[in-house]
Amino acid sequence: MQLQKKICLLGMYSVGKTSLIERFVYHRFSDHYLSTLGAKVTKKSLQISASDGQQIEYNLLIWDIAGEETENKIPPSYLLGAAGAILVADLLRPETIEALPSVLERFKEINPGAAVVLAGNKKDLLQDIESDSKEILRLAHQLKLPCHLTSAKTGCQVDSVFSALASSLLSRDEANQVISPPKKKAKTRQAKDQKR
Amino acid sequence: MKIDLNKLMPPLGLGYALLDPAWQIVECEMDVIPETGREAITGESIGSAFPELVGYEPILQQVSDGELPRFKMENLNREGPKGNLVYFNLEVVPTEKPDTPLVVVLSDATSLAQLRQHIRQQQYEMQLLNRQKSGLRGDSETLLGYSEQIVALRNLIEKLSGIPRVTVLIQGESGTGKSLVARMLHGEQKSPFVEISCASIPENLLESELFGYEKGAFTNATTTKSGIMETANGGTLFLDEIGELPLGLQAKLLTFIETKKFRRLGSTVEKHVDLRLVTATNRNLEAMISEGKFRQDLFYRLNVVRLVVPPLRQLGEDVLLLARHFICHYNLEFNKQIEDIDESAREFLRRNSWPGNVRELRNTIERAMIFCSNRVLTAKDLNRMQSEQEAANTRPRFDIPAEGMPFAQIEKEILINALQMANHNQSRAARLLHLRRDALRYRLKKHGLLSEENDLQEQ
Ligand SMILES: Nc1nc2c(ncn2[C@@H]2O[C@H](COP(=O)(O)OP(=O)(O)OP(=O)(O)O)[C@@H](O)[C@H]2O)c(=O)[nH]1
Ligand SMILES: [Mg+2]
Repeated sequence: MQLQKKICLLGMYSVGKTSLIERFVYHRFSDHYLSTLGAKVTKKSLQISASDGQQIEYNLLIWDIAGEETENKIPPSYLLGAAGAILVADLLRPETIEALPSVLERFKEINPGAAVVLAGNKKDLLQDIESDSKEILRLAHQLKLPCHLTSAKTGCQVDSVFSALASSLLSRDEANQVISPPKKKAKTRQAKDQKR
Repeated sequence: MKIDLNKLMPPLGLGYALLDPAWQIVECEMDVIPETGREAITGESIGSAFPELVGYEPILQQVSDGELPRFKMENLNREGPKGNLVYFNLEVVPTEKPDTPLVVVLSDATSLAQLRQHIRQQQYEMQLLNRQKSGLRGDSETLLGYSEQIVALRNLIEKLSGIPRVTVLIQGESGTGKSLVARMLHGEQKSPFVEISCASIPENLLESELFGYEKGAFTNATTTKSGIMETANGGTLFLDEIGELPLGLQAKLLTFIETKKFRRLGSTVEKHVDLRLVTATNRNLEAMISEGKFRQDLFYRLNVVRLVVPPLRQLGEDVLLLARHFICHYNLEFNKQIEDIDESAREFLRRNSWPGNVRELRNTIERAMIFCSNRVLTAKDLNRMQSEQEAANTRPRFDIPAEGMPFAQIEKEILINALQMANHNQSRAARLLHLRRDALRYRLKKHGLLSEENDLQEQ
């Protein structure tokens, strides 16, 4: 069964959103920083097994959205219709972790039922992983969200963070019975579109 | 009235896709964004031509039903054919026709977006640099870079700076930033940081500078003077180019390290000071030991912790980061607006072996920026300076004819030369000649070179 899902990468500038997508989709990394303006959509599909053993293929539309700053707010139009989000912080810049709760709030306002996971990125730069990851793990605990420590540079945990989001999408789809064997033919135009 | 979109839109620089009630493309013209055009095929659903609109079906419905007047998204990115980014705006507009209720209008936004991207990039890079600078403590300078070696070095310095009295030996080629490392080790403490280069002062003077002297200790000692050991008490004493320290002084320094005590020249009173000793060298001290030029016992005392500052050629992409940092710095200093370096310059920066390391890079950027009148530095800007310098190093700068020539004439020629190089900008010409601007103007006037043109250009 195939499903299309829009997911967003959100977080402050230069935390590594573009780099995580580049790593996940194209298996590459560049040290060069090119700040994103606006948004870019990249496709990638991901297989996952439902609890009844059925193979689900999520065709992800991954939105790389320019990092938000006070003077450059994310236009809400970019967030519409998202089924999930990865909130990214740079483990070495505490302010990027502090910024996440308000990013989450705005995302949830528009997509209340969406799945969210946290990524603490640039793990490769950490000297003392335990102490440098404390803040984001604390925040994840407080927000009750899964959290992965990633490195777009080495690829560490990058697939895992996308898989974690996919399994959150799956549990939602199972709960909403999007996935259980279809009894009736899907009627809405959205469902029709999604199946392709 | 039937409007022929195909005649209306393209001449306005717009693309469009007309949609049926199932959101399938009935008609389209999208050459305005070539990368979009390729995928958009009549009969396809809007979602496959525009992954950007997947998930927006309820919005399309709202626009079609008149609940929303229209819907717009700006600055969507697509990768162009050459890997370049193309930016476009997309707007969903109702047509009020039941067969084709919506039209998606597309416009190219690349030029404006590129400008905005550029500004934002600079702003973020500045913020990141400032952050990095202040990351360790206060506003002090820090080693910039993301290469593994620099990150590891920064972390080590951070750790060591927390251990106040540990003796550190810094090794690295010249121009790598050894004295910066010493200052970072010292940190932002209120305590003194005292620096002296063992290579720049003759032996007898160095001794009195280090230890101080009593009145009458030697012929010219007309007063009593404390040495920098005392000045550095409670803080850091940084001895640069320790490899040049004469053997006699090496013995004295060793005694000091072992006892923490010393005597001023001509004094019998022992003084006790408590300081962190940091030394640096670009020499191979081990080799000097085997040649008998450096004391092994002193070496062991100095080499409690050794920090190696890597040469620039080993730092990969950090050379670009540093170059951008210096560009920001000299933009402020020279009041210029150079925004970036182009690919050719990046290649040049990466390929150069930088024997003079960061110092050489800094000088290269500085020189290139003095002459660059564009917004982007190219390899030519960077290279011209180097080749000019090389040429200048290999041939004499002035040919004096056998019969001689008046000095005034040479001076005049140099002034003209400098004005030409500086595009008749007097401040820049003054900088070229290491003169103050008023000193330059005085000389220009003397040679009758202060023409209206030069003065006008200056304004
Ligand atoms: N060492 C290291 N560097 C990383 C990592 N991820 C990203 N970077 C670097 O961090 C910088 C910013 O990365 P981007 O992916 O462009 O950041 P972004 O979040 O997309 O930034 P904006 O588009 O400005 O919002 C780049 O120089 C990357 O090379 C990582 O895991 N480790
Ligand atoms: Mg980005």
